[in-house]
Amino acid sequence: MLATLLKKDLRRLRSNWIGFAILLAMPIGITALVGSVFGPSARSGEMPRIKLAIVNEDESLIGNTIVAMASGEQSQAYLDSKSVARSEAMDLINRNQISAVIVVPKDFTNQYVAGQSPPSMQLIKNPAQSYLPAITEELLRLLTEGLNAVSQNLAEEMPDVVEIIEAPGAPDTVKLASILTRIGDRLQRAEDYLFPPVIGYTRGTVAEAETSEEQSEGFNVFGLVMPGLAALFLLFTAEATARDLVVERRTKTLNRFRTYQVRLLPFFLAKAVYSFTVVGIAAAIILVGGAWIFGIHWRSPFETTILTCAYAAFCVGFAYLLVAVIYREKRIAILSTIIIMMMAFLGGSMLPTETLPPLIRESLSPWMPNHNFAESIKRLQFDYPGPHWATASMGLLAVGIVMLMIAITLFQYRLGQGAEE
Amino acid sequence: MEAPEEPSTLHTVVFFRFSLSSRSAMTYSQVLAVDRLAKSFGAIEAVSDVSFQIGSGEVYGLLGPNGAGKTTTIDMICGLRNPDRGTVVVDGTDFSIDPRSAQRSMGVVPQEVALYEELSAEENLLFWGKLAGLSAKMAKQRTEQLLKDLMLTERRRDAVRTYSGGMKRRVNIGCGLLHNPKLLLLDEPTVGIDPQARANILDFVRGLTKQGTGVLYTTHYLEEAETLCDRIGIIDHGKLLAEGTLQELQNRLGGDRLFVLEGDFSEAEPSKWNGFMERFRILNQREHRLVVASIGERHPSDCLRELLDIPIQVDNAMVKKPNLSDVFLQLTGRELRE
Repeated sequence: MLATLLKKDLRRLRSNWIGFAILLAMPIGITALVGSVFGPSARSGEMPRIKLAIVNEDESLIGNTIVAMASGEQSQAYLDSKSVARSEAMDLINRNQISAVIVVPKDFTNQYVAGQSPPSMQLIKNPAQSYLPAITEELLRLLTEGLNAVSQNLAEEMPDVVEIIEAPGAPDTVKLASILTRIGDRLQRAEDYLFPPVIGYTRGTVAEAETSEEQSEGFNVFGLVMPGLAALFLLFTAEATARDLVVERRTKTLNRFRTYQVRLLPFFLAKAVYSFTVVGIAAAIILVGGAWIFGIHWRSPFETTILTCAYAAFCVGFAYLLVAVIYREKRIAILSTIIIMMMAFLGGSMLPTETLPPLIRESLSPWMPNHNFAESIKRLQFDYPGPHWATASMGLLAVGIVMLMIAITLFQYRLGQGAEE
Repeated sequence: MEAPEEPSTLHTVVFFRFSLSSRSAMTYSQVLAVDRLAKSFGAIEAVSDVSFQIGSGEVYGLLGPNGAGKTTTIDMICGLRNPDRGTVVVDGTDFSIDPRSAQRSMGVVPQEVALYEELSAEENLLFWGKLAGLSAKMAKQRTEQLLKDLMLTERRRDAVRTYSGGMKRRVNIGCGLLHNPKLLLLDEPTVGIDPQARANILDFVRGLTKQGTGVLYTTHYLEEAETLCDRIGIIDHGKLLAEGTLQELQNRLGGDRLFVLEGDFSEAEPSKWNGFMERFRILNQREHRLVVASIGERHPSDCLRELLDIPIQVDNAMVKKPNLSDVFLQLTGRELRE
């Protein structure tokens, strides 16, 4: 009988395939949207180099240093910078060739060294690009803070240093050494304040180095975003299929079933299997299809599959419990959406957990099944701290089954009481 | 035949003997016996001590207005609701003792079109056939037969949602018949469909009775009850007020003619009219209308003459053949459709 019931629901699904396709297309679409924020190059799993133009109108120590730093060997891995005139820089940004322009204004160094308030450095961001201009802004902020710190702490020495460096011919190394010794002494005295000992001692290990290497190789921003989004959309998918229970009650097909069969358990179990199947298909499309589209390489496919199946079971149990508790069709549509969204928020499926208030992050998020699912996948994928996949799988499965059993009992009880819409 | 207000001792004894006897030993051709069925929802008594029986090949009509307790009665018979008290015996099987066997003997056609509208008529019939316990082969055979009988063969593969109201109703009936039940419960199967489709359904039900299927048919359409049902039970406020054949119910009114007088009866007191209550029985008195039946065998023209002599000016007088509406009016004091 289970097969007959399941076949019937799948046939109904087939004849209403547009609705199902929309349901499945949603997570892929959202992931693609998130992906578009990070740019198409995120698919390769590497951070693209930021194309940058520096307009050095200062043409003095700081301006030249910034240009040199930006084109230095270390920076080349992240930055693709060129020093150009303002007009050319604006032309490049207008043609979407670069992400941002940094303008170091005229007399910047002189005024800085003189301890006067120097003119502001300008950052012109390319609005046509997504997050690379924002990273450039962060870099510039760091640079500004560094310069401010130097200005506040080494105000006496700075004019002498600039004078020595900018003097024609070879710099006076003896004088420079004396200044540097003075700076060194001062830094040594302030060492405890400048570099407070956060950790008692550190010891690098080979394993740590390997992990770090592996992380950078396997990191893919979609892989980080996908589990949380998948957790959210699988909940919605389960809820959409569970709602079929109240549709069958409204259309009286459930009552007709009751005139044929004394026991209702097969009906509910078939519905749960149907929901699990649909959620499973959705999960496969989101995780496998998404991985293919966005170039994610799942490091532990077996463990990820088991974990996803357990989460699908949880989603089904949770969705049926929602339906059994809320019971009225119109209320289910509204309340379940609110509850799922709230759960997604608390569990970090909508915003990264790190950005949530400490109370939520520390007290509530760890209890959210979607959080456990997503964090467990991240642990498998990136060795992030998170629950072990086996523990998470067993927990999700157990909670899902208990919820389903409560839902079936409650729904049957309410049906027996003759509760209708 | 009037429904007993207090079940007689004889009735009870007969019933118990009936329910305890084995199916093979039964000599009755009854397919349904309902005894003192009752159901309350809080303070509201939806069904109160309803008793009736249906024989094989018989159409029993349960006639009453909306909210009279017809659907609740059917729900209790088919197991959708548990009765507060009373028993239901289907083809010799007490439902409370062996609900599975009882369910196998009955087919239920709910008032609503309880179908999967995304599926075709064929898929619906096959599905419900398998759920009724038929093998895949048998379900297919029965589906073919029913599609033909219900004149649905041409559109068998179209989704039900594309069907007309009448077609949906026919599929709805078909889904209750796949396992060839001995008893068919039809809960207002013709609600909301056109007269032609209604006539088709009524013909189909008549055909079923020829094959020996007993039918419980609830309706609030008088014409359906009059033309289709072998026996009729009139139900109102959860109570079975009367039951019998159409003729038996008409006879309750005291003859085959009724007299309808129109005039100002707002302050009329017929009991004070000289000898009126000995000669006529008042079925209904309203402000502008008085419906009476004559007591004893008299010619209608004599009755009319006597009625025109009453101390009220009669504007109009009619003689009519009593129908179920009049029976209902007499039993409840109101029209069926009020």
